[in-house]
Parts: sequence; C-alpha cells; structure tokens
Amino acid sequence: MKEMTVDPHLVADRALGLERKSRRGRRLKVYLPLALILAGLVFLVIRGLSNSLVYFHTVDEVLSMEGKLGNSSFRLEGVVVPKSVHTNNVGGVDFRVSGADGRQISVIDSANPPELFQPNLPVVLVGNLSHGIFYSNEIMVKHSASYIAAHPSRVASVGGKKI
Amino acid sequence: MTLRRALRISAPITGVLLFANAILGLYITPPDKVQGNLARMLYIHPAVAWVAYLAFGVTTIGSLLYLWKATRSLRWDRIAFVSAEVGVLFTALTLITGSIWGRPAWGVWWTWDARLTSTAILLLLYLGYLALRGLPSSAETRAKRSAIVGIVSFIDVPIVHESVIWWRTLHQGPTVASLGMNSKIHGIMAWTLLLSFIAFTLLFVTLFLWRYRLALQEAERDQILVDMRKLDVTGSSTRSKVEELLSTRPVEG
Amino acid sequence: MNGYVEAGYSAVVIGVGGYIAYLTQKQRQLKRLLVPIRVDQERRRPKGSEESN
Repeated sequence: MKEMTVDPHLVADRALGLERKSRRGRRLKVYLPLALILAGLVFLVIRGLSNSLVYFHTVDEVLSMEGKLGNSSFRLEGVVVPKSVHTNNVGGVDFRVSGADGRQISVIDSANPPELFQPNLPVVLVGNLSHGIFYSNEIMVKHSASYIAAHPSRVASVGGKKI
Repeated sequence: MTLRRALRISAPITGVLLFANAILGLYITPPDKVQGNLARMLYIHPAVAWVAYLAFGVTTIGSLLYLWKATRSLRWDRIAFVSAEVGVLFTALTLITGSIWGRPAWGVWWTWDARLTSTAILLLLYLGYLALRGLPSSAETRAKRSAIVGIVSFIDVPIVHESVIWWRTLHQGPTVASLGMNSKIHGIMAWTLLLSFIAFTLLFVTLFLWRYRLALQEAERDQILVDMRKLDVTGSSTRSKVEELLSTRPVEG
Repeated sequence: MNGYVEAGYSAVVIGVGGYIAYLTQKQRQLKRLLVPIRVDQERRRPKGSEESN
C-alpha cells in the first residue's frame, strides 16, 4: 500500500535522469507559479470589482449627479453627436455626446481619437467633469454587434480586398 | 476506432476547414460598413473563445465523472487535464486576438471592463489548475484535487459569457444570439462565421485526441518506471539501460 | 489589409503551431522510449517483470 503514495511522474523523471534538481529547487519550481497565479487572481478580482461592475456612467447619470463627481476621473459613455466634431488646439477633438433621451455633454478631448471614431457611434471617454464640460484624455470606440457589408451591391464580387 | 485512426480522419478535415475559413475570412467576405477589413477578426476571435468554453466544459464533465464514485477512473482525470491544457491555449489566444482587435477598433489594447477582466481571470484559473497538477502527489490525490478545482473554475465561464449582458462593457454584445442566424450579420459573413466555429471546434477535437494519446503513453511510461522501481532495477541503472528495458514492453496504439 | 488583421491571424497560427510543435516533440520523446514490437520478436523480459506483479 505504501506504493500508492508514489508520484509516478516523479519516479519516471528521476529514472530517466530528466529531473536532477534538488528537492528545494523542485519545490520552488512547483509552488512559485502557483503563488504567482494566486496573486494574479486576487489582483484581477479586485481590479474587476472596482472597475468592471460600473464600467462607465451614461450621460444622463452624469448630468443628474454632477455635483457629487467632483474632480474624480471616471468613464463617460455617449453617442457622438453628428456635426459637433472639430479638431482643437490641445491635440484632440471637441465634440458633444448625447445620452438615451437626447441630453448632451460637451467634450474637450486631448488625445488622438482612434481610427474608428466618427459621428453616431457610441464612445467611452476617460476624464473628469468641470463646469459642465467633460475633459477627456482617452477615447474608446464602442462599436456595435452588427456586421454589415460595406457595399452590399458588390458583395457578390469575389475578393473583399478590392472593395 | 482507435485514437490513431480518429486522428488520421480529423486532422486533414481540420486542416482543410481552417484553410477554407482563412480564405473566406481574409479574401472572399466583404469588409464591414463601420470596421472595414478589421471585421475579418470576426472569423477567428469568437470561434477561438468558444473553443475555450468548450474545452473547460469537457474538463468539468471529466472532473465530475471522476468525482462520482460509480464512474471513478483515472481516464476521466486524464480527459479533464488534456482538455484544460488545450483550453488554456485557446483562452490565451482569445485574449491575444481580442487585444489585437481592440487596439484599432476601440483605441486601446486593454481595458478593465467585465468581459476582458473575467476572461483574464479564466486564464489564470485554469493555469492554476495546470500548476496544481505539478504538485508531487499520488495519481489519485492529484485527480481528486484537480477535479474540485476544475469544477469550481468553470463557474467563471458563464460569467464571461454573460458579462456583456449583466454589466456595462466596452466589448460588444453577442452577435450570434442563438444558434440561428439573425439580422445583425449579413449573408456570407454569417456563413463564414459559422464555418469558423465548425473549423475551430474540429481543431479542438484533433488537438484533444492527439494530446490524449500522448497522455496515455506518458501514463504508460510512468507506470513501467514505477514497476521497475518496485523491482529495484532503476536504482543503479543508466539511462540507456532503462530505455533498453522499456523497449521490451508492447504498447497499444 | 491593415496590419492588425494579419497580426490576429498570425497569432492564431503561431499559438496553435507552437502547441503542435510541443506535441510533436513530446511524441518523438515517447516514441523513443516506447517501441511497439511484435510479440514474436520480443526480447527477453527482465527477470520477473510481469509475473511478480
């Protein structure tokens, strides 16, 4: 019965000379990754609980709790209002975002907007609110779950590359 | 059907389907109205993520069947392990392809929304599962311990999947709402997406069968060496002697 | 295309390819150790290896 506690893998490695490490070295090799993974998990769970549960505030929420936000940095979500986009002199763009019921917030952005940034698409902005204006230092485009051919009439033509 | 024969059938079909998927995804499908050519990521990223779910599902079933006394067998433990290893590969690929898609589409490589964070947690959970198996212990203890961790870790899979519905995320909601096609995605794009799911599922089957076959052989090798230890032939033997002794043992395919 | 698509598809090829390389190496190792032989060509077994179990 004593043989039941033998680890076949270890016996095999030892017999084949694949495992020459000292007992201590082996232990480190086994427990260190486990410890790192556990630490990583703790970090991710904390990160998730503090960031992911309320990943962003909507325009309407921000307008209704403006006083409480102070100078803190948060994420704001809204749809880019058409014809409101202008390049500014702080390296980004000025525009307005609108919420579900049409209320709007003006945005001054200091970061280069991503390629897909365009009117009518929802965006998530990182920054803070001051005197009713949202100062953004990061724009993220929240694209939809729809996939529609760019040129439906040309779908039949083989070779998406050329379109 | 032997494992070897199953592999001989599944491997070439997998290759052909993956190749067809790449051709359709990269050249035949049209660019998307908003995302342009970037939408071609659609033909790898969701399917790769699905395989990760599937793999961990298999791990969970294997773990349950091991823990259940009526079906307890190290075979289920082996199935759970092999599937988890392939699952970790596909979870990592999900994060990598997602990141590569996120940079041009969203503007960032990474963000702490619920979908991304829970997927990263999934990767670490099953990396932990694999690391745990490295602890020295008897095959039975290892199997039992891993089975419990394998089952508990699976709780994160529905969380990852539902995260885009339960919480606000930067990640898009589901494109394929059910198995049926809906209007969110057009014609050949939808068919290619479906093909990608089939092709990557078959890739999982092939990798699983192959790895399982190797795991069986490893177990056999280990058993032989344990036998020899019992007979005290390994104590002073050199590597070549061990190999010579091993070569006298017939092996199943 | 745009660089990102190529990178994404390559990542999958490299990831899966890397795993396949790992399995191939493992297979080669095992093949060296476990040689299937026909019963009529079997060499003399080490003393008592089967019977004593």
